[in-house]
Amino acid sequence: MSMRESSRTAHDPDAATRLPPGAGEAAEVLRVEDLTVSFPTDDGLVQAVRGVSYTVREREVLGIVGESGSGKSVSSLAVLGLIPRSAQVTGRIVYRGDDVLAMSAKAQRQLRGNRIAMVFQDPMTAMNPVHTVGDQIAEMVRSHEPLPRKVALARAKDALDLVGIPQAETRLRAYPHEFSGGMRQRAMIAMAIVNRPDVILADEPTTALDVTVQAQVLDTLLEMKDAVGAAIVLITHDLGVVADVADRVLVMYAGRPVELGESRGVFRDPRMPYTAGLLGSTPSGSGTAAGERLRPISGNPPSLIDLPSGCSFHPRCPLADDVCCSEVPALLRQERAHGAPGQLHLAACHHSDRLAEASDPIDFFRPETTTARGAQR
Amino acid sequence: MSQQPAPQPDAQTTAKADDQGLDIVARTSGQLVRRRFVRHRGALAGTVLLVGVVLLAFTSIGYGPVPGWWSLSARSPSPGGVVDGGAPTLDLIPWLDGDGLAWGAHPFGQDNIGIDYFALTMRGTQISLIIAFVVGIVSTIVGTAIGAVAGYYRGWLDAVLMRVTDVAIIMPVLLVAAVLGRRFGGLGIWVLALALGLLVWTQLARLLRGEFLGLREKEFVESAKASGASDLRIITKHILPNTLGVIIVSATLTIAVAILLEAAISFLGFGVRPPDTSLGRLIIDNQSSFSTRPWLFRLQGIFIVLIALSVSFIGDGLRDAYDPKQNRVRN
Amino acid sequence: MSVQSTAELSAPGDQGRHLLEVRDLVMEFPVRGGGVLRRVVGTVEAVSGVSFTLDAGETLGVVGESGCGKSTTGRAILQLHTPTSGEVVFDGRDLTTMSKDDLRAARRDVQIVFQDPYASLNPRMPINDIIGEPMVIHGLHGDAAGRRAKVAELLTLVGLSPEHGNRYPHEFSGGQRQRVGIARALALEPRLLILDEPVSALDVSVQASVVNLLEELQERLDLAYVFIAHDLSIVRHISDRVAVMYLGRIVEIGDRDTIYDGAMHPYTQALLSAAPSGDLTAGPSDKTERIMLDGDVPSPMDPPSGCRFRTRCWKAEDVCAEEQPGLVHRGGAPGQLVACHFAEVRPVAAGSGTDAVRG
Repeated sequence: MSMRESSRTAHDPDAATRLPPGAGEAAEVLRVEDLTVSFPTDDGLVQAVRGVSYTVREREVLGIVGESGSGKSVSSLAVLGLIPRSAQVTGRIVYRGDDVLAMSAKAQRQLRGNRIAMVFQDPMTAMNPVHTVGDQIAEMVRSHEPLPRKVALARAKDALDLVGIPQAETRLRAYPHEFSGGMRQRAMIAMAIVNRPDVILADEPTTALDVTVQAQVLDTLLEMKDAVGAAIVLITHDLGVVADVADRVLVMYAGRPVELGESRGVFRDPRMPYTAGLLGSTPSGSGTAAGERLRPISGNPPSLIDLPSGCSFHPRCPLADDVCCSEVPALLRQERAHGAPGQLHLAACHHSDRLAEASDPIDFFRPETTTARGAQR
Repeated sequence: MSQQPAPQPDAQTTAKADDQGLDIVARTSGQLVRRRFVRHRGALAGTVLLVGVVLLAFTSIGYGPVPGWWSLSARSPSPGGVVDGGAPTLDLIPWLDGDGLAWGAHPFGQDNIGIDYFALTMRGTQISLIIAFVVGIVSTIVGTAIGAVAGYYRGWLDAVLMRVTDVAIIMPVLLVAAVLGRRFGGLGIWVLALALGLLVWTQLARLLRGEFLGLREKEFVESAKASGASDLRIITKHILPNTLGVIIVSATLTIAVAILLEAAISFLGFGVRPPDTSLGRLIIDNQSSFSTRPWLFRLQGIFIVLIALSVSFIGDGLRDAYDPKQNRVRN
Repeated sequence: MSVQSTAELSAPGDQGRHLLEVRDLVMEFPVRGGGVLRRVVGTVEAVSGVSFTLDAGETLGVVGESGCGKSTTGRAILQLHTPTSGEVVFDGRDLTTMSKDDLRAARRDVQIVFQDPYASLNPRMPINDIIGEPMVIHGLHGDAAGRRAKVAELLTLVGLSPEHGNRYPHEFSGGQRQRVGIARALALEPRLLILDEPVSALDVSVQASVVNLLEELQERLDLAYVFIAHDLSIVRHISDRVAVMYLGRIVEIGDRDTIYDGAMHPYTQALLSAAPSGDLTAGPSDKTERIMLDGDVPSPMDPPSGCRFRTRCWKAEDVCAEEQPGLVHRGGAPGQLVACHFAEVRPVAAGSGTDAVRG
């Protein structure tokens, strides 16, 4: 116990490696630098986010993946200032050169829903049940621009048209509960894009939807990205969704970014055992041979109040050794044998070289037999 | 300190347990409730106060054949006759007359025929407490049974029971209580308490029905059904324990209400009959002495307020303690 | 409205007795209006004429979107909902017509694991009592000490430590709770487990270990599973056969690989193509062609006539509105039953060798 106590506060500033600006690509719209968020609770300080840094460029889709408690949602809610006042936030959130956290409350409000929009997981709870969909979208317009209601409603109709809702004119007067799940999520997207934002934060936008509807909504989201020229930060736990739509992916574990890079490269050649473990836990699309087992990561994610020392993943990691228990690995640039040379690939692991050498990094995770393990536990 | 049945945790096993996230929340729900209750200052103060009042009332003059430490009787005049016009000898505010802290022979004074008023007040407090708690227990049992059956079985049974409840709700409690008091008041405090208890169960029944409607759809209830559990078992073992918070809170609030209700109907003259007495009865008997001998009902009123308030605070604390949303921030 | 399904139950030549045989299962729920009388204003046919079979040691995956009736089917097998009509024959005996006592005894053989590991364990009971309760009800394993020993054995079996038995559910993580739920289901030594989305609520890494546990238990205890899920890749991983449901009916059923590689029903094809790619390294650019379905699933209160999928189907013709297609063999692989007038294997670019047959 004492060993963990002593290192609980260990925080390696190097972990938050600054990302160099993209080499002459699209302009950067949002940059998050060394963001930390913690919540004081009865039982101690919950360190939800510990040093997250990323950038998003115009028309780019950045996927943030992680399990529950990885801090993926909190980090994006913090960008919009949508976390409880008791939370302690440090770091910088830079929107087109301006630090959002340093802005006045009014200026922040002007960004919210206007330049940076949010799509929530559950549109049923994210929309107000007592107002019509049209009024809610129009309200979004009018809270940022002094326009007559008629004009705002016309914009709302255009937005509904854009996201592919049929009979937008009549749908404006409908209430959220009269929409089906997929339709509601599209209306949510319409609300997000009505002010032509630069960044859309989508927090598990398709998790509550059925597979066929999920495909529709994801398509809509991507179309909207092109239509209004926004960047998308897509927060999800579904690796398949990220692989399908994201250009780059940020993998988070226990509040810390552990791997960042072009999504195909990260999934093909992971340099952090956690990413490899996630891949091993996902049944492959082509089906597994009879009798073949998945390769799960043993154990459970740590408590955010009492984090493991060193690398937070070490208690579950098959590669962990003494270094991992004592030193927090920095997010370092990875040399890549294949893939586009200009693509940045960062990973936070003391043993990423071993993963790089391995023919299949998933092999480090053995399909353990549960009953044998039961005896030790 | 977490209560772990595991042997001495060395570094190795602690890490193992942590893998599974077990070290952090190793408290039973009972411990959590206790911890949250103790943290609630009002509830703690209420508990101390209530225990104090109960101890005072029952040890001072004793109950039934058991004698107490106060020698004077609540039934017959004190041997010394009326002293000093029956004024109380209790003196807690020494600087007023310079006598210092004093208890005296008749701390609460005497009534007009010389009965020691402290003994009488203690007797009244006993009766009031008994009535309040009997009402609380009876109404809780009735309300729980009706709410549980209505919520669990739904259908026509639910419809019938809830209509009965509706009828009970719209009855003017004070009026009915007065009628009942008139009819049963002479039969003693136990019958009176029982009658009152059968009158005030409605709120709990409604609350509990709602709880049951929600809980019966839970998967743990379905899984109990799947393993062949009988209805009685599901109700008592699976659903009721999960409504304990609601029941306890409702019971404490009912007790507070019952204290006041008894006082009210006794004040109207329909409650406890002489020679028995209760706090409400003492006040009504002496209301004519408002300006001449205020000690005859002043302290008794304070006792009513203290009991009602402390029970309310306890209920408040219990409600907070049982509220799962009081738990730590989840992620 | 009730339409009799004319499903052919078994593949040709399959004569042996099945462990579970569901015949024409119909499950209707009344929809009540508001007001005091709460009159029945309509019915929702959650399940309308579902038939399938399951053998010992086999896993049948049931997939479909929300509202397709897959969970209701699972609960109706267990008689947690009393079916409106149809038969559920387990080991030769019809559960739907049994007396209460017989059913209680029969339930020893059929158990269920629920989706939500937070709602499915009684928060006020320690783990030992939760797992031991079914034994108490059925009077198994003698006294308290005997039960305690059996509970310890079960905890070990599902990968937990017997010391955990004194703790309460809230002290466990989602994956551990799901293991407790599995241990409880195994307490009566059943032969069939209904797994109702057992891993949907769990994180990816935890999901995998629970799936592994289920597979291991199946091998060791020769359990049959009805695995209900909406995650197509997990169903593909764990199932021997797969049934695809749409709006209360099975639209296609067959061997796992038949369904995933040679689906003949348009809905199955759309469902499979809509799923996020299983191939994580493919990247956003090279996606196989997707079938995008229009609109949403119609309301089960007012399902379309004939084929229920016709309102969203690109193949729909007049006959689809008039005639309900039966779940029958229409070519394709052996044992593959399809409920579509125009069933055919969808030509895939890579060119699978299966014949395209019209029904």
